Amino acid sequence: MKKLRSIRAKLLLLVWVATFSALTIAGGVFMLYDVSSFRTLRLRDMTTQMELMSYSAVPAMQFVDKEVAAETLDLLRFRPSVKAAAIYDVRGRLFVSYVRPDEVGHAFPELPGDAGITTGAFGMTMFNRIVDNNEILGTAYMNADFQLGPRILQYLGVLLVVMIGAMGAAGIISLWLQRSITRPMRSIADIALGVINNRDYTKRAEKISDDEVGILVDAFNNMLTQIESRTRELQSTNHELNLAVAEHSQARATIQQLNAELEEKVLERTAQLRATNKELESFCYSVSHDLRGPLRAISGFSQALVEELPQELPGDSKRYLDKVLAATSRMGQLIEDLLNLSRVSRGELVRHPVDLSEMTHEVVRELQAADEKHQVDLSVWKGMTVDADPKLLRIVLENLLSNAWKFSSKKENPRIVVGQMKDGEHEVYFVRDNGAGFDMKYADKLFGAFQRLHGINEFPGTGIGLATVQRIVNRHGGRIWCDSAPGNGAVFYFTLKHDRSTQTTAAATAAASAMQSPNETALPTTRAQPTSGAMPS
Amino acid sequence: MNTTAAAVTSKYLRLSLPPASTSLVSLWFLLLTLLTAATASAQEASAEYQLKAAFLFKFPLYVEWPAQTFAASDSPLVFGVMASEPMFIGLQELAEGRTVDGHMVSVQRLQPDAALTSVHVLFIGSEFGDATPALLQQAVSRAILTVTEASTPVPADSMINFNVSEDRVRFDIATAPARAAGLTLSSRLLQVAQTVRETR
Repeated sequence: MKKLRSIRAKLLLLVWVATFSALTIAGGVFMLYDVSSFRTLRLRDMTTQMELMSYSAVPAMQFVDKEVAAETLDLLRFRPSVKAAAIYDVRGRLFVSYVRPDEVGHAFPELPGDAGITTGAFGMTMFNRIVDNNEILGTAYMNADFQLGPRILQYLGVLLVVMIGAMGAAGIISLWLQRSITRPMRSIADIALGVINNRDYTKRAEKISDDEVGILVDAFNNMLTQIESRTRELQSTNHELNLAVAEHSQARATIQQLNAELEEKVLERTAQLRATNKELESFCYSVSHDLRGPLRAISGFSQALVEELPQELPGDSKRYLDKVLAATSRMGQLIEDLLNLSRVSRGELVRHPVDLSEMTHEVVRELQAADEKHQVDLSVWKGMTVDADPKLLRIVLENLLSNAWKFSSKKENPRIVVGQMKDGEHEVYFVRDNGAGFDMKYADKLFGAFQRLHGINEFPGTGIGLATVQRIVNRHGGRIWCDSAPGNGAVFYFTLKHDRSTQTTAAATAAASAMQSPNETALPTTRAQPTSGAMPS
Repeated sequence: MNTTAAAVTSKYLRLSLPPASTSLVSLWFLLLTLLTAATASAQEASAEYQLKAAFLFKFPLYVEWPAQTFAASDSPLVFGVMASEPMFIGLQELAEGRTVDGHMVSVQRLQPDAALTSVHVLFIGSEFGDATPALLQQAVSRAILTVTEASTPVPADSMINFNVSEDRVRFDIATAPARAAGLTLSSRLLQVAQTVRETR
């Protein structure tokens, strides 16, 4: 027998156990039934025998013939199951008896018992009255065994033979039938082992039967097919992914390289720019500074000349001298503004909480003191407090308010409003006038140095103020923009904190400004700050 | 001895025959036994004659008469006895109120010259010896069972002949006269006979 682990052996064992159990139970039941019916049969047989014996004994009893009676009993030797028999006469005395040859020392009852049968497990005792013509002639006695032992032995022998035969047949048949079960299973097992060991998904189990094993085979094959296709898909996807990753990393490397180059270039340019800026700035400063000396001489000597000369001068001399004086004054102002612009960039930024409303009033008072005739309807919101450098903020307000003052001077009801509003997270401050205004197509020029939208005769000014204002606002991290229309006044908006939204949208600007050190600024002439992007309408 | 028999008999009363007949049989048996016990002591009948009477009384059980012998199924069965007193008395005692196969039994004393009308069994005692061949012949012709107790030679027309040997009462049977008389003797009777003579 094979190892118990194989299904074949288990099936064989199963069949054998089932066959054995069935045969044992059936055989047992049959044997019980057979023994029982055999016993009944024997009983009936013996009863008949007894009747016959009693009948045969009648004449012998009637005519008291012991020989004949003995002969009658002697016939029982043909009935081997009868162990002993006897006939008692009418007075209860033993008349004749018979004992089976192998039965030694049988004890006959002293007196005949009651008529009837007493059965034991293996034998019986029987009494029967011998009656003829309504007359009791005596009593017949018989003791017999059922001879169940041989019967049972015989039966067991047959059962054993049947069992051996049946087990053999069952074994052969089941071995034959098992193939239909075990062969496909073995096939599955082999292929499963192949899959596990070699990752070979191409083989398929052979389908032999249409039963559960067949279904299993189908399911297994289906699973293999799916695994195969999935594996293939996975492999191709992996390949693609690898390619993509390779491409991607190559691109990344390229980008990194480009970035590095760019960085280098930017650094280079920034350094160049910084050097140039510095040169320009110091040039501007020294030019402005150095220009003051000759100008002061021109101004001083012109003044002296005016004082030295008599009151009445010939021709237009007086007028020319006045023009020289005015021109020197204007130039002085110009130089002063330029130096201011330079200083705005150079000094350190010290932030303090500043009352913007109060500062506005101070500046307006100074403007009013300088120009007492001009009456302006001023409206300043109360309680505006900002965190800024007070000196620089004052320059901002001076410039914006003087512009408003100046450009609204020709209106009948000049009006200036200084207030605050909210744009997202940021506080936006504004200075509005109802003055001359300007065309928005020139807005990008507005914040450049020396850019003037109006004739010098119309509105006096150097054209440096707004450039200075923008530089201050930028140094505070804010923005400045404007809105206007010719004849309809102008509004200047500014913030004093970093505006992240605009930083991201105007990344180039932010990057450019971030690269500039706080002390160094591009010349105001470079370009106007882009203002249109976040301009409120 | 008689009391023992009575005790045994009374035990037999509880016997397990079919219930319907049991009580009847027991009653009969009891009556019979008591009667026998009562009268046996009174009579001086020898054991031999008692036995012979008993045998004689039982012979009709094994004999089949021709169909027309009995007028009805309950017609009496008549024993004609030509014998010594003890035999007669013994038979009479036995036959008292008893039936054989449904026939009432009567016992008649016969004289040697008696006519054998309405007799079914004829018994001729040894006292009457061999002087009765004519009577026996007549009996055969009338389909009568003939029983004798003759010593040899046995009369030709005797069907059953008692003999006593070794103190035992036995009988021999001759089937030829029975056949001639139209009687059928049961093979079971022949079985217990000492000898059976088939030819004359």
